[in-house]
Amino acid sequence: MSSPNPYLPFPAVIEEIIPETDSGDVKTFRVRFQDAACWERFRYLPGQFAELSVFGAGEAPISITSSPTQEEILEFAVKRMGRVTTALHHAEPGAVIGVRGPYGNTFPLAELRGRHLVFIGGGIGLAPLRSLINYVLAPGHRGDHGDVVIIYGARSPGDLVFKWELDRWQTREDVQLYVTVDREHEGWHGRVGFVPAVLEEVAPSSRNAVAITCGPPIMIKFVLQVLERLGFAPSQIVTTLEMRMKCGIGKCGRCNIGDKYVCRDGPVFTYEQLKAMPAEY
Amino acid sequence: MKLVRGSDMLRWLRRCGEGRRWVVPAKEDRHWLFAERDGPVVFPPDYRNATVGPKGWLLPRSEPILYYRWTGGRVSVTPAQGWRPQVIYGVRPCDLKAIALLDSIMASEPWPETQYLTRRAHTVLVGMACTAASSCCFCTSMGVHPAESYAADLMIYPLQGEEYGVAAFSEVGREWLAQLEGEEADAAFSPAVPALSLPMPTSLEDLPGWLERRFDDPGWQRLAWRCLSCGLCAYLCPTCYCYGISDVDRGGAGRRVRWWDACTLPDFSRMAGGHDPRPTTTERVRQRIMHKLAYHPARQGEILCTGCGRCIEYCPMGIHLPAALRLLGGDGR
Repeated sequence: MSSPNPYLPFPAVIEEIIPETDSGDVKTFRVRFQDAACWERFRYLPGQFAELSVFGAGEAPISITSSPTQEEILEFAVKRMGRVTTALHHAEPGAVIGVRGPYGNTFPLAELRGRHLVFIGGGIGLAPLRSLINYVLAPGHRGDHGDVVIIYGARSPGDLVFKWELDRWQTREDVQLYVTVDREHEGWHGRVGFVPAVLEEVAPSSRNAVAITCGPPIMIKFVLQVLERLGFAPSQIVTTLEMRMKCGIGKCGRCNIGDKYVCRDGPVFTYEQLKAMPAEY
Repeated sequence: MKLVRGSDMLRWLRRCGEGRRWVVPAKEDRHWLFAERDGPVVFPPDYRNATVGPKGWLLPRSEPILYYRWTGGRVSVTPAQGWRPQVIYGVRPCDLKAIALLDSIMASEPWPETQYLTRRAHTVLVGMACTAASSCCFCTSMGVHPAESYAADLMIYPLQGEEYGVAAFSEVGREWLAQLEGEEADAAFSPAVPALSLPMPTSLEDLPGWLERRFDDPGWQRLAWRCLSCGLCAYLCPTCYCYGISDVDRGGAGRRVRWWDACTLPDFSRMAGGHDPRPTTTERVRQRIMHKLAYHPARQGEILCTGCGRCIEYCPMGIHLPAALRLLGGDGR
C-alpha cells in the first residue's frame, strides 16, 4: 500500500509559549515543523484543527488559531484540561511535539465573501475565530468583506485571551471591536456585561451579514437567541463544535453526532445544520 | 462452481495458502472463536458460527499504530509494520457482509485507514455458506443472505455428505480456484433459513426515519435501565469498529496503540473538561442503536447490522435490536 500511515504526526518545535490568562490555564504555543517540507503538506484554512501529540501522554484535537496567511508558524491556544493539555502546559520552549492534520472543514470562506462579518467569542472560544479574523484582515483579503465587528468577552480581565491581539485589532479603523467582562473588576475601565447583552446593545444588522460565534455553551445559547431577534437566519449563523475525538480522520466513530462526524463534516457548522442534528454536543 | 470432496478441498486450500497464517474457527472451552491454527478444518455438524467473529484479525482488539523514541531533544516516529499474510477461513455470510461494511468505512476518503486496509489486502477470505441456522440469527431480516459471498475471495457451499461446491469472487480467489481439480457444475445449494424473522416496524429503507422520530421515546430509558454498560455487544458485534488511541510509554520510548472502544462504555464521549454529551446509559444505548440503524444508513446507505444474532444470544440483559424495536413502539405505534 502506498498511502502513508494516517496517524504519523510531523515533529514540530515549540518556539514560543505565550501565557494568555492570569491564572495560566491558557497558553498559546507557537510551533514550527522540524522538517520545513512538512509545511507544504500542512496546507490549512481557518476553522480547521490539528491533533497535537505529546509523545507519552497522547493526542488532543486543538483548533488552529493562527491564520494561514502567516507562513511557517502554527499557533495553538490550549486550555489546560486533561492529560495531554496538562503535559503541553509543562513543556518549555524548544520542546518537540507532534502535529498531524489539518483536519475538519473550514469556515465557509466562499459564503463569507462580500458579507459583513460579526464575530462573537467567549473565553478560549476566540481561538478558532482568531484564525478567520486574521485571515479576513490580511492585506489581500480585507476587501472581500464588508464591516468586521468583533464582540469578545470573558469572565474577568484576567481571563481574556490574546490581549496583545485585541490591542492590535483595536487600532484598526476597519474593525469594530467590543471587549467585555462579566463583572466589574478593579482596574478594568472597559465594558462590563455578558457577551449576549453586549451583542444586543451593539445590534449589528443582519442584512448581508454572517455571524460567527464560538464560546461556552451557555453563551452560545443566549447569543443564538439575540441573533434570531436581530434577524439572523439560522443559515447566517456559523459556529464550531467541540467533541471528543481520537483519530481525526472520520474513522474511529468517537465524534459521531447524528449522521455527521465532527472531525470530518465539522467542526464548523451553521446553526441551520445544528438544528437538524441531535443536540448531543 | 467446482465440486470437490472435503478432504481434497482441505488439501488444496492448505497448498494455496502456504506461507500464510491460517485463522480458523476453533473451540476454546465452551466457545468458538477465530484462532491461528495449522490449516483449514472440517466443521463439526453442530457448528453454526463463532461466538467471537473474525473481526479482530483485521481490526485487532489492541495494536500499535506507531512507535516513538526520544534521543536527546529529538523524537523519531516510525509507523507500525509487519503484516502477516493470512487466510481467514470459514467466515459466515453475516460476518463477510460485516467485513464488506468495515472495508467501505476504512477506505473512505480523504484519509483511508491504511492500517486496516493493508492488513485487509494481505488477507484471503474463505467464506462458508450456512446450512443451518443458529438459535438467534436473523440475517435475512437485515437484507443479508446466508449463501451470499460479500467480501469473500472464495466461497464454500457444503452440499451432500462429503461433497462441497467452491466458487471464486476475486482475482486471488480465481487464481486459487484454477488450481483446484474438480468438476465444474451448477450444484443446487439450499441455504439455511435463519432462526428468527424479525417483525420489523417498517421497511429497512424507512428505518432511519422511523428511529429518528423516536429519538425522545421513553423506550430508550427502559432499555438503559437494563444495560450494564459492559461493552460486550460492541466487542462481539461484527460491524462495531469504534476505537480509541492512547500512548503506552516506557520512558524515553513507547508506542501509540489503537484499541477497541465502545460507545456504550461510560467515558466514551466524555471530554477532558468533564463535559459529556451522552452522560447517561440512556444516551449511550440510543447512540449505539441509532448509529447502526439510522445514522450510518443515512450517511452511507447501508445498515450496520448483518443479523448475526450475537447480541441476542450473548447480551446478559437481553438488550438487542428486536428488543429495542419492540420498546420503541414497534407494536403498531
